[in-house]
Amino acid sequence: MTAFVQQLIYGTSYGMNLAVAAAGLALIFGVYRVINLAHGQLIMLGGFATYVVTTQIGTHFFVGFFAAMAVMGLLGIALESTIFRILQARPATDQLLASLGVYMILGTVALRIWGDFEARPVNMPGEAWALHLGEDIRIDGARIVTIAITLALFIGLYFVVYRTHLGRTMRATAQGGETAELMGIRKRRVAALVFFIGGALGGSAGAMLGGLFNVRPDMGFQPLLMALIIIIFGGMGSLGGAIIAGLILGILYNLTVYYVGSKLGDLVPFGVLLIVLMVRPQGLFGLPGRRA
Amino acid sequence: MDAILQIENLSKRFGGVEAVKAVSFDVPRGGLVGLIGPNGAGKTTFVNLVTKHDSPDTGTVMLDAKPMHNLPSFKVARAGLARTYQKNRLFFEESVAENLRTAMIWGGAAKHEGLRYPGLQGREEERTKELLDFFALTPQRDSLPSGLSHLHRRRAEVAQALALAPKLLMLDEPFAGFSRDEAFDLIEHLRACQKGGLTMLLIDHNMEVMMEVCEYLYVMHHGALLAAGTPNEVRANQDVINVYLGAET
Repeated sequence: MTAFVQQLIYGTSYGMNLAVAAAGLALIFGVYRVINLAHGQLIMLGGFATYVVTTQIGTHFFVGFFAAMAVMGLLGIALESTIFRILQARPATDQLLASLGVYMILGTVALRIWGDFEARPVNMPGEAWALHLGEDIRIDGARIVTIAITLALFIGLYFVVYRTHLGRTMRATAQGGETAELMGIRKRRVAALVFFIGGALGGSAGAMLGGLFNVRPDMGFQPLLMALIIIIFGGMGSLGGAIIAGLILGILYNLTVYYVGSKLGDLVPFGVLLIVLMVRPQGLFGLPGRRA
Repeated sequence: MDAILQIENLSKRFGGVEAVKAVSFDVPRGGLVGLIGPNGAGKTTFVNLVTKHDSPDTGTVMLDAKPMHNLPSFKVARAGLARTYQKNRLFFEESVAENLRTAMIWGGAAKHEGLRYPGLQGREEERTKELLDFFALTPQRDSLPSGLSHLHRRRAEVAQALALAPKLLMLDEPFAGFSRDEAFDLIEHLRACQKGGLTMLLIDHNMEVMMEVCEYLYVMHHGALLAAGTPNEVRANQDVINVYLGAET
């Protein structure tokens, strides 16, 4: 029972981390209708940005965390205004392939700089904050910080999307770009903002993953894969769906790894993906018209 | 005539098809003007050019003496030119009230009343309530567009366009799919808006209803203006009779 609770908590923290990564992807897909594979490398670069600012320069974790969010947000805008804007009128496959190209380029650049694969830790606060529940359950401070940050991010995201005019314009653009423009909404600016927020969420996911594990040039691949499964599972373009699906997958993954083994744990997300595609292709909270 | 909308020489070609041919006309301030023509006459393309949904090849569009033809569509909307579509284009995941509020963010009312800023949402709610009451949509305020009847959906579309606080409203086929009673239900609302000072351009092919509603009519055929005048003048125009009765050739 103790191990189960411990894994449940670890799964929650991992799942929330993945949900942050997936929320960025879902937001961009919801408004822009593009699956941005380069998001994986924004997660990786977010981790390295935090490593450089926190570990190499020696500042507090949160300085690195916010720097990663800001830089990845700006990189998101740069990608939107150069590559995706030009390709927006083209078929979805062109955009997907272009984002794969960006993924490869950014990955290659990271390998040139950090290709020695040395362990690069990011010092997360809270080492002394480990929580003891009863005699046997111990939760690392880093996990607590991760859960706290993701909760804050989700509350902030909910506030922006559902409680501000900016969120209303984003939702309107997601539901009908042309109609939104006829309501006076500047679609291009909304798109840039969405890419900024999506990139910043990717950067924050990278910063937290770097804190939980180490930063590596290939660290963006698994979260990207998981995030893709999460947005299909949660419903394409649904933020709430991404958060819930992220939690479910994170917990399932951790429990499977612990009780069955790490090799089978890697199969869990794909098993879930296959079941979702067969039983409910629109995902948990997706509309029937928005299938994977 | 004090024209709020002045269109000069508007043209658009799609490949070999000349969809709109050098159309020019004015809409007087406070007027209820109609644009009629059979299906395929180029009416919707014309509306798309005026609202910059499509870019014209040639021609100018002036709203209140300000050029619209060189602005993107969102700026045309902010300048006060609103429209509705033939098909329902309400935001499908938002309630009726939320659809109206979205239109208020950048509409004319927002500019004057600061609706873009948080803390001033009281005015937004007041205006939403006003529009819902006016169109008898209060019971449907929290309904999604998919749960509305055709009549309620059309009313909601017009209310959404009015939430922009436009200077001029263009309604594309507003009576499509309506019975005569339903059409006149909407007309009563439009007439009340006109009394409030709103200028409207109605685009439809239903001659009978348009003749009754509009003060002045333009007739399009094959992308060009065929006739213009009061309903009685248009009704008596031989070219119009030929087009509508199919005796053209």
